[in-house]
Amino acid sequence: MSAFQLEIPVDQYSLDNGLRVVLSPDTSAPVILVGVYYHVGMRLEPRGRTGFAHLFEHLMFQGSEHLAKMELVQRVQQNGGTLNGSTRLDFTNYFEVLPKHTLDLVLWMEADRMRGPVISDAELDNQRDVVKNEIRVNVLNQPYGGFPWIDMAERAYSNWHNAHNGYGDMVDLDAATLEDARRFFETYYSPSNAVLVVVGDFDPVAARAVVSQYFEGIPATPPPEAPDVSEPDWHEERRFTKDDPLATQPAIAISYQTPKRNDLEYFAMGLIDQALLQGDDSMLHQELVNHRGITGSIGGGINFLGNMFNAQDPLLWTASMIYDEKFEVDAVLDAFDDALEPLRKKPLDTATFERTVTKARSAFYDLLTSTVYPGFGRADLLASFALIDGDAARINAIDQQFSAITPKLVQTVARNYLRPDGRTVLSINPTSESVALDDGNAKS
Amino acid sequence: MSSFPDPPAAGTIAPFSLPAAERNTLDSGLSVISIPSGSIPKVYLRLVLGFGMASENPSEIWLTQLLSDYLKEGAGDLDAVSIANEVGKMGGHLNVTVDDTTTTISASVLSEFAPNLVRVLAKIVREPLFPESELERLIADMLRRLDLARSQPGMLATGAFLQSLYGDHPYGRFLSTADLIKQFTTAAVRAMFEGHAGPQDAKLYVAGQFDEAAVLDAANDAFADWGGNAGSVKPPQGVTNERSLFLVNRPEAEQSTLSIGLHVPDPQQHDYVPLVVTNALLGGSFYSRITLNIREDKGFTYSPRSQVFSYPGAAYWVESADVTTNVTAASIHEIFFEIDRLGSEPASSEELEGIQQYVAGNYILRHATPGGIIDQLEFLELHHLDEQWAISYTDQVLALTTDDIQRIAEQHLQSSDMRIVIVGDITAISEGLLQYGNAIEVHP
Repeated sequence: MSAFQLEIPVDQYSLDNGLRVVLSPDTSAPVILVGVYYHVGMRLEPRGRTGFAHLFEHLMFQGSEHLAKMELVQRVQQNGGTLNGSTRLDFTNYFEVLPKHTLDLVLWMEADRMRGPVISDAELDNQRDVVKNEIRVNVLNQPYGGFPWIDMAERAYSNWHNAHNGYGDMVDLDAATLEDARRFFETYYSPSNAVLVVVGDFDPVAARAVVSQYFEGIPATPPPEAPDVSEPDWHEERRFTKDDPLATQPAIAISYQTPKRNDLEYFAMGLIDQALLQGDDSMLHQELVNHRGITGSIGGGINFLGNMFNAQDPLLWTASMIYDEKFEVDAVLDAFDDALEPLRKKPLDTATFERTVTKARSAFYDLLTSTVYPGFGRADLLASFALIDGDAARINAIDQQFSAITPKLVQTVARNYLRPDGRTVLSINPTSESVALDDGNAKS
Repeated sequence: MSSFPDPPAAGTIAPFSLPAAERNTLDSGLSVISIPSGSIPKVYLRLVLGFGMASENPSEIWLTQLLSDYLKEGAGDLDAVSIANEVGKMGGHLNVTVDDTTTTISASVLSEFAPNLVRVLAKIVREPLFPESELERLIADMLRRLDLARSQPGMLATGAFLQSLYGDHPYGRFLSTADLIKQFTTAAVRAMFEGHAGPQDAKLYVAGQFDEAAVLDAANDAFADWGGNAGSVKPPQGVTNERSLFLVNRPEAEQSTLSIGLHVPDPQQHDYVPLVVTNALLGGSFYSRITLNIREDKGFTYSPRSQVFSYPGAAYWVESADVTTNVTAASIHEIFFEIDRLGSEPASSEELEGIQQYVAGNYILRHATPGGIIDQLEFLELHHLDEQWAISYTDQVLALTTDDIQRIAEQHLQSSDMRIVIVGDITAISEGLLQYGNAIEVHP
């Protein structure tokens, strides 16, 4: 056994209003991170209001009872920190990271915001414009803009919750009102539908007292009813093609359904992801990049907007790549199938299997670190485990879960889930003219 | 809600202290910098060689990128698959990256494998194979990357902007051409490597959790008699600022991608730190003037930001934003309005104090993770700054006055000296741009 072991301190408890709190001290650097996770994401938002979970995330920066528009941002900066928020499949998060000794103020601000945004039509209109520009810069004005996360979800899923574009239709964004925002807040932003996480260099006893002081008085309301997001099993291969007017090279994404989160099979799927797709030593990289020169890199994994730990069922495992136009789609798929076949045919040899388990553990540790927002990786997993599974301490059990998988189980899961008749294939047809390929002459 | 308490005062931020680094110079001349840090059982290794794209001649643009791809293709008794498997066994992936003045070979692996990774890194730089058999595939991959870059508005904007700033100097080269790439040979790659790689200007950074003595032993052994050459960069001489307007046409683009900026003092100059603070106040943070104006007030854009980029002996300031096409001219007007206002009237002391705390606090955050610490040490190395510079950084920041900020704005951030690059739909935006001078259409 290595002298180096992972051991994350976890103190999870609940307030009377249902708010789950997770404290995890880490004195390796003089900083703290506070995160608040609300259990509403892109696929849990109501029909007719596509993009609303994300638009609402923006509105949460526009002011609350004791904080003017952008004042929370200003105060975080004035205290040496930085912050962000994001909308994922199943939750919306807000987090701040600062030098220590600022914890009380940050908790006070998040508590004020949890009591509700105080916003005007002007602020809604402003953020509507900002969000539209976010969609333009990330999707509409980029080659492969919604590929594969929006494009694949729209085609592969049959349940509206999973299939709809979480960034939202411009029409729905235009229709959003302050009344919608009020109702959305009341439905989804209850303390009983949230997790507060604190990570970093702080005194947990003092932190408990401050959390109680600021958050205990927030009225309890019942959590929303969870929508049915289940998907039928797939029994035939489905193929789709999308024209991309800004792209110059073909691309492809291939998705399969995954086992249920937290089943042993799900962790076997995590190993399959490592064996097939992650790193230059992976089977798909070897076959498609090194042997056949179809692409320079192939990417993907479980969960379009995160990792295998921070989303709930149903999920897809997806591999995607931009590839050389001299190959036909079928040739790409043949190579893909050839790379998968050994995994389905017989158990991985011992050396490959051990390497795969080591990679999975190491990749999990990487998720716990975050250079841009120190502490965020750890906070994100703690909050996700608390929000989705009800138990943040699962963070210390992941190593054992991977260790419990056998080569035989990996083979079984590969056979049952990576089925040619159980996948969705999306091809991107580039309709823009290449400027650098073919004739070798750049326009100049 | 009336029971909600008043906001607590934030505590005082503890003074910055530089994480302790141990430096050893091996017999070969290679410097090894060890920084035990973090709370996760992983180790981060970066072997930084002192040459990069700036060592290319005008017919070799991107040759060092080919070199960086090529380094993963074999070394000593290891072929590409063996290298990938070896590093995979430790839980990592080998990354080789190149920028203007460095080539970096890095990986993060489970802590116990730190000495093993040192040996693999040494083999890669000491015995690279550059197998001829892989050249055609690597060039095809590179041509597709070039084509992809040319279809992305942000890449085109950066290319045109750097070209306008640095002209024929290597810093002005960003995108290569297919003609050049197709003529690259294995011999040219080997000559580039052998002519510029060596221990005298190389650094091995090791951060995270690891056995320091074992790592040093492994490095002493593996790099003992490594020899080689050194990179050299001549900074651009006599650069000048001027107002000029460059357009890259992207018909029917929904947004215009802006890069607006100029040459500024590099990190060795006295005005650099004041400039960094001024930048944070002007456009370099969420609560900055330009962002509050064109995003939070006008909704013209989602992610405006200004930054100071530095090279050895050179630096530039740039404001970047993707704005809705029909407010292209209005966005430039507002950006210049904020720049001019900074020089014409002093900032309030409250505003300055807030931004000083932001810059000082974020300096602490940037030293809070193993990867972040290496980034900071690399910055010092690149610009020949000593430890004292880092130790006194926050004091320098906090000592600034509102007069200093106004002087920096007047001296270094004159809007009339700024180059403007716009990637967008020329026919839709041209009319409003007449006031900014004669537009020159370019094809980066």
